[in-house]
Amino acid sequence: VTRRGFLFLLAAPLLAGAAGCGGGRALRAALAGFFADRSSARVVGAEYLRLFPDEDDDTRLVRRLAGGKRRELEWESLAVADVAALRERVRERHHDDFAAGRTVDLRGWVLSETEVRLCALAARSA
Amino acid sequence: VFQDARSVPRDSAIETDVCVVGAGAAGIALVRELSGRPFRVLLLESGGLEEDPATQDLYRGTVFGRNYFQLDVCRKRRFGGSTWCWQGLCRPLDPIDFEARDWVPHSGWPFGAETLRPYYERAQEVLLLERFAYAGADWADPDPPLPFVGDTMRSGVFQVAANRLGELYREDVEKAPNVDTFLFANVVGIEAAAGRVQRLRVATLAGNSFSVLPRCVVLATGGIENARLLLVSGLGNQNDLVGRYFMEHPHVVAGAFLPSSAELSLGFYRARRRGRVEVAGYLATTDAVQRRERLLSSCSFLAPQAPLPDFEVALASVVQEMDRPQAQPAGHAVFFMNELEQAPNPASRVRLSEDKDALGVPRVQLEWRLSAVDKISARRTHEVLARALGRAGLGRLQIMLSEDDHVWPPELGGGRHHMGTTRMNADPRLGVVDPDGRVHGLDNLYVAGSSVFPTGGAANPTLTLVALALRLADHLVERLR
Repeated sequence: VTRRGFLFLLAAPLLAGAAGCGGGRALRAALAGFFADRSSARVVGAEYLRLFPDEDDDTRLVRRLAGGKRRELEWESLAVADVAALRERVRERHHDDFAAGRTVDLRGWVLSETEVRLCALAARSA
Repeated sequence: VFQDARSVPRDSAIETDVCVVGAGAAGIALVRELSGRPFRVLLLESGGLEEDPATQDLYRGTVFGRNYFQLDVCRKRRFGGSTWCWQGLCRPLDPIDFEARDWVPHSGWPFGAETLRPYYERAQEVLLLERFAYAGADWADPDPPLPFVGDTMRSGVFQVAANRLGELYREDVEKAPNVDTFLFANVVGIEAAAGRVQRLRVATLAGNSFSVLPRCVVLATGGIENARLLLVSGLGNQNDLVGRYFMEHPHVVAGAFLPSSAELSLGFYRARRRGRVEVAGYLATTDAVQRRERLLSSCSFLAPQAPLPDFEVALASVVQEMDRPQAQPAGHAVFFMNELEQAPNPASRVRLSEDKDALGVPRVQLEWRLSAVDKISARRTHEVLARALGRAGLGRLQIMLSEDDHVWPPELGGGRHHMGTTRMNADPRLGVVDPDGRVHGLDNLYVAGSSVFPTGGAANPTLTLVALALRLADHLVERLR
């Protein structure tokens, strides 16, 4: 954990409290809007949801994107306070997915779970 | 001196110190090293200086198992051998390729890469290559290799020198004072007694035949024909190994690479001129990941680009936004052509047919067999590559191999690399030739060429077989001193 990450872990409950339920909405919106090219993200996301219909649920997708409740709280705080930092965290998790084997086969393409779930959120927000 | 064997008097006998059978890359490299030595060398070449259909037809055979090239188009039966039709791709085997790997059945050379290193360096000169340097970092300017993260993937290069040795060294061989070269001379049988070759029976398509009485013989006729000659002669096969373990380098387009941005440079992986050669980069798994994941060797080249279908256009945008937010999405994917190591497999083999060629010699049957080990490794290698590309933010890989352990894409082919049929091992129960290339049980019969490779790695075989030929030359010089 970096120093910055450590400070965020300490501060996350406070920030989450401050953000309240708005943190969940803000996080969902930030993740669903991760891609500037939404139409492309929706194409990929629709294919993912076709193959994995049990993930056709915003709450489940966000929880799985974050990889756990604790990180979800941290991300909710960031969604309110520092969207750029949130995007950085998402990218870190995306690259870690490949190292950890958290990948998905989509039409033969080996993709990170993070990127396809971001796409799925974009598809669901259409 | 070049002579036409068709004019040799019928039933004559020619004595020599070393008889080299076959004037391809191995035979020519060997003879050049023996040139000027204080003993006589006789080089027998089946063909002439030009291609001749009737001679070429002596190669014809039948193929079982996987689809394969017609055997009479895989090789050139003329002075210079198959260097008349090779692409010139050279790189040494990797150190791990020499090891006995517990996940690769029947693997292990009787010596390591360090033993062959000085001969590789000499082989560089024979093939007119550049310095002995094959790591990606050695050729990184101006286009560096892809920057992977961690220890899973590496980049290296092939040096490409499509020299025709029959043209390049014809004069050297012709003028060598102690070397006589007989063209149109086909060895049709080897006779041995008391643990030694006593006589080679030689015939020409013109109808005459004669004998060679050698002190030593080197078979350098190619990865199929070496086995054929031993089988025809009933030599070296006391443990039913001759012709078995036929290996190729399976070639298959098994992955499409979608770069993370249009700006990603792949110049390192395209052929470019450096000095007297071209170099072309490749991607391969590291030794560390081969050990960890129990993989065979492999290397991936860039193949032609492909336009993107609709789904992939969308995916290119997603990948670019994930990995290179300030860049442009890639406008195309690039296919990877993979050259794969084949695990040694005794069921993959060369046998004699009941059909005979124009000289009355049984033709060959080739049964090329891949095993589940090969497919599992290929699939897993692509998974490793896919993750490495994603982890480093370089792009995504589409794996075009099924998960069935025995099913390959129908277009899978070979590289016309014939290996393993007279494999090398210090133990006569496990190999046809000993670590010097000498046929077990016969004091004066040697084999040169890729037929002695116990494993073939994922490197085209010519550089290694030339290095081995130079090593054999040193052995013969010492022996005949």
